[in-house]
Amino acid sequence: MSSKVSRRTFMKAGAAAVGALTCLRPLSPALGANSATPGIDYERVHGYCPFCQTRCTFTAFKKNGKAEFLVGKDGNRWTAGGMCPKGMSFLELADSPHRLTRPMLKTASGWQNISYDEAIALTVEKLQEARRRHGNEIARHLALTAPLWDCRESELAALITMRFAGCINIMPPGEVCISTASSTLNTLLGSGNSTTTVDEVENAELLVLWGANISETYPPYTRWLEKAKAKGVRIILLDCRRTRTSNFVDRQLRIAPGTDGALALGFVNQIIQDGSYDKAYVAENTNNFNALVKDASPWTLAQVAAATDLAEEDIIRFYRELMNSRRTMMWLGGSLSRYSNGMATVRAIIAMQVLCNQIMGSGKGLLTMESGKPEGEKEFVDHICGRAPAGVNFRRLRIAMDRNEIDVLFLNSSYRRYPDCDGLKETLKKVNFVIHRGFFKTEELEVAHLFVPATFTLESQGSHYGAEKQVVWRDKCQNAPGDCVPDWQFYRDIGRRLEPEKYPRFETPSELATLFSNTLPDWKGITVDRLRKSPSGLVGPIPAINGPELLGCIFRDGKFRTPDGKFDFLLKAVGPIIWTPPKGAPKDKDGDPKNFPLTFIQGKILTQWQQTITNFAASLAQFSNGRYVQVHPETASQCGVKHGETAYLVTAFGKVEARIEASEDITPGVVFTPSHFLGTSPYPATNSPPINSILPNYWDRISAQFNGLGCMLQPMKG
Amino acid sequence: MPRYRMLIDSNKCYNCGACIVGCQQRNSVPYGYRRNWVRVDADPDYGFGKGFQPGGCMQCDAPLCVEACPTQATWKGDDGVVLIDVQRCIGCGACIAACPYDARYRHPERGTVDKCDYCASSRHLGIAPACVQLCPAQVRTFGDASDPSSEVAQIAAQQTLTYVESPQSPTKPSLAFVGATTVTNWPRAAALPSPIAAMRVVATGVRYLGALSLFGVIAMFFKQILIPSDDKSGAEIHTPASGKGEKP
Amino acid sequence: MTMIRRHNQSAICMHWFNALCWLFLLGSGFALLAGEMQPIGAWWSELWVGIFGEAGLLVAHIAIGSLWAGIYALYTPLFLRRDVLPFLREIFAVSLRCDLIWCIRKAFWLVMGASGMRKIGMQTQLPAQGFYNAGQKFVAIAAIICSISLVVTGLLLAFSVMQQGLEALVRWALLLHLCCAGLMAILLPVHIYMAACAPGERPALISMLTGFVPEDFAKHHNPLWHASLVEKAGEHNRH
Repeated sequence: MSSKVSRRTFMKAGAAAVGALTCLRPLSPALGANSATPGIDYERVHGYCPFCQTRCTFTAFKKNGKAEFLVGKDGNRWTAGGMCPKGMSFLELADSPHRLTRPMLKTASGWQNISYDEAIALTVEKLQEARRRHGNEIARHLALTAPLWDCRESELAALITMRFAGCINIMPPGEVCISTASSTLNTLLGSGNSTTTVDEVENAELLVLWGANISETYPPYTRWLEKAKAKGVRIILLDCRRTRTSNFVDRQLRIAPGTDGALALGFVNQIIQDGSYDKAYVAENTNNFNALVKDASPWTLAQVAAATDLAEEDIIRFYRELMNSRRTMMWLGGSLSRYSNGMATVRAIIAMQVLCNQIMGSGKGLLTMESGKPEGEKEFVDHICGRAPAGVNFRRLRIAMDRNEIDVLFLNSSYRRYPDCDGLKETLKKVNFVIHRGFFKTEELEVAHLFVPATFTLESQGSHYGAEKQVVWRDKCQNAPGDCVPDWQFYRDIGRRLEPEKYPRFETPSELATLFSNTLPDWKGITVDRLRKSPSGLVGPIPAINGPELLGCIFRDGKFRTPDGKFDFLLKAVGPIIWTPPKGAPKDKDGDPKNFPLTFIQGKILTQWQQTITNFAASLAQFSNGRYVQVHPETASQCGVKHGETAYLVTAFGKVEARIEASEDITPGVVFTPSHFLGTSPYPATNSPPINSILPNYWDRISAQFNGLGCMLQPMKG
Repeated sequence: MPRYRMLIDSNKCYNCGACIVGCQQRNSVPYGYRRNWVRVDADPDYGFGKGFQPGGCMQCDAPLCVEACPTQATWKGDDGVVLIDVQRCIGCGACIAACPYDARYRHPERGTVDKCDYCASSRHLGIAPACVQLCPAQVRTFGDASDPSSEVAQIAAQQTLTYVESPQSPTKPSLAFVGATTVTNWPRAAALPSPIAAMRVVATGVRYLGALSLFGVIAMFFKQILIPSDDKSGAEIHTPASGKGEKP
Repeated sequence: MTMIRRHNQSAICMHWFNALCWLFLLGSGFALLAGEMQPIGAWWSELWVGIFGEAGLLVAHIAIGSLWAGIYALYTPLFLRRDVLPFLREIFAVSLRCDLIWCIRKAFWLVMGASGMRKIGMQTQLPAQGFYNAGQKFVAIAAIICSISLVVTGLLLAFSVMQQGLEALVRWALLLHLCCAGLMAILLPVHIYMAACAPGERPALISMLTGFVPEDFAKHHNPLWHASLVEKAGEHNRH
């Protein structure tokens, strides 16, 4: 009897065990997150990449409340459906285990979680307290640093809130790296953007990529180089480094870093001397030509060759190609703006184009990826809040912070993007109350008093703009985790408490965008409905509802957008175009060629966008191998360092460890390192102290500049 | 039945990695593992001094991976795609060693082998494979080669195609490069792990010895019916209980 | 006719459970293999896949294999004293020389009969056998060793996907799995024939259903076992 019972028992137990074991073996093909599941349809939500000005648009395929994968929009005329890995990393970042999702307040015992409402109440209290203390002087005591990583509506909401709080000190996005070109273009031509759209490269005869490493900094735009090539356009690249872009050009001039202005002034001098510039055009459309003649006169061929390290015959050939081209486009790289002489360089290049009548018309003009912001923002904020004077730039703000004059600072981006960031950290500690909006644990938490987590692109609707001045729209795809809120909500909630009556009423970015397009005449045709339907976005301005998009040259009436419609070779506020080596360069008067004989340059690489976000992506870390310096093998051996080993990159302001990448892709005497590693990255492949901790707080009139600085490579002892 | 094929114009590639990340996201490939790749080779014909060659499973017509698989987990489908049934895969890795292109890897979470299947799991959504769709340079063309009007069939008909194949282990790849490409002889010789090679010998032995055993006893069965060995003296003859073994 | 108990009910159940599992696992296992690694032929795989489906076949193989191993894992300790240890004691009671002689003579007897054996000068007498004859013992020993190997390698094969870095081990496990299954596939027809079809074995087959054999049969086939039973009965009576 007992044996029967036990037999039944073990049969049961056996069956259970078998069931359990067979279930253990993974048998489903769709294991793990983010895999497309056969036979299942997905909700499709449209969006855009928030990083570079290419502004790729995509469709997110959503299942179970989350985007599982992205597909570029084939109908996008600028990208044809392409994307780069940076943009795709958002899918992963939204789910990142490293993401901070609760507001936190710094207390004596460390960071403490607080509720979102408490965070808003505290911020409002700090702003009101500052107002009580400073009254009409409040503007001098508040500041905000952009960029906000969200959308244009977030920028608008923040600007309105800041105005109502009494704040006018808004640090623009890209202030440290790209403002020079944008500001110079704006001052000289009346528009801080490209003078035409990129599709015009197909109509050019000659395209000069002036320091523009398109394939590595704006990868999807490489297709425009290919399209131009296919049309027989000759492409010349000016860059001291061979990069992926080099594969798409006919010729590359490996010019010494920061000497582009000398090359441009040499050309100006040459065509003035031989009289081959467009005299009639210059006479009719420009002012102060004589000033330019004077500025360019020192730049003989020999002078240019000495400054740029280019062979004279290469320079002559380049100038001849420019003179022979009937339609020339110049693509200004962000690198030009990164030297203290960047303004002179950009002015000289614009002057080249103006002298040859290469600004207006098809296949002519200047391209830049550095802005694209359609006009109207300031007018909109003024319309709601009333006019206000301009604030200070970051150089002056830093001085104010050092004097303990700043009560409340909204730190939206990393302070590590500014040079001498270690010194800046100490300065920031002097601010009464710092609110940091971010995503991850970064150095900003050391200087912040309040942390309020922000959202990634998939988590809110809103619009953005790209290099073609195109406005794109995205819809909300998924909910943000925890208490993460988009910037428009955060700043709106503060603004509503400060000015409940005056703050515009909107519950979604769509309502704010509609208010915007109804307010500004040039935006009438850029409605949310129309944006939603357009895979490429809409190129502004579109003054009429259902009006056409206007592509190509922006000077449609043949006049510059200056007060008198003419181009001025002399900028009275700035002075003549005087080219000198970048500040701190080995050849500069402030340089120290004995101790720092090498020329330092830093820039974006393909897998990094800015100082924080991209370093937290495993999808991008897989392509990285930690901080490196690219240096010519000859230079490496002169410094006593070998390929693959770790050495110190040293400037007069500090040193950082880096792996030596000895390569003939860079000219001798130059050292390149990526800009954007992060000291708190969870991945060793992207973890390195910020490069700005060894760079000086040098500024031109517009922004902080440090490329071209003297540096040295030092072997590590022991 | 469509016959899927991919053609790659490697001259357009600049190794941005979009194809790799796009594929990883679409197909749940953990970052750091890859279904596809971009080779970087020194090549003075390019301004950068380097040429790029994107790749992935070559969807061979004579796939050595299929031959190496002991469990029928991988096969060449009628649609031209070499597929893996993860429910049949035991993750032994024989196919990984057998692929001259190293197009396969063992999925660290699933434990089974994974490879490019032209994004089969999302084909019903009407979207191209991730590497094709997301490539900003439109390097890859994908489609039904059996449809003469398809882009892929037209390119194949009009342009010179280059095949990348292992000299020692030819596999008849169906994926081809449009025009010339950087390096064509990089695939290695296929390897078959020794236990898997030994399985073929064992299986042959089992086949013949098993047949011998089975047909032997069947023959014996009929022999005993026809000529019984029922000779009483030959039947078991027991020895006394104390005896262990045979009495002399 | 006096009947004596040869098998317990539990042992009978386990025997037939075992038999069904072996047949299923061998059949499905071979069907799972591919190409030249499949000993039977493509038709065999198609047959099984037709019944269970591509995915179902492996699931079924693992499920039945796990069931078989699981039941044995429970049976062995529960019936250790009653069935398992006596069984092990009997099958490992090997006397190599006379057991080999038994096997050889038995084979020759089946092939040519006693008269034939005498003609070629062979002795026809078989060494006396215990509870199991030599053929049964050898098969049983092979079965036990192979079973343990099959369970260990089978579990490894089925569940190695949950662990990284086992690929090389999995390949060797697969080879061993095939070797063990192959050996048993070769021995199984002999066992079935000898137990069920060979002349004079009918009572043995019936005993695997009822548990009892006629005393005469035992006396004749398993004289040492019979003698020990008689001895025990005598002792019992004396007490």
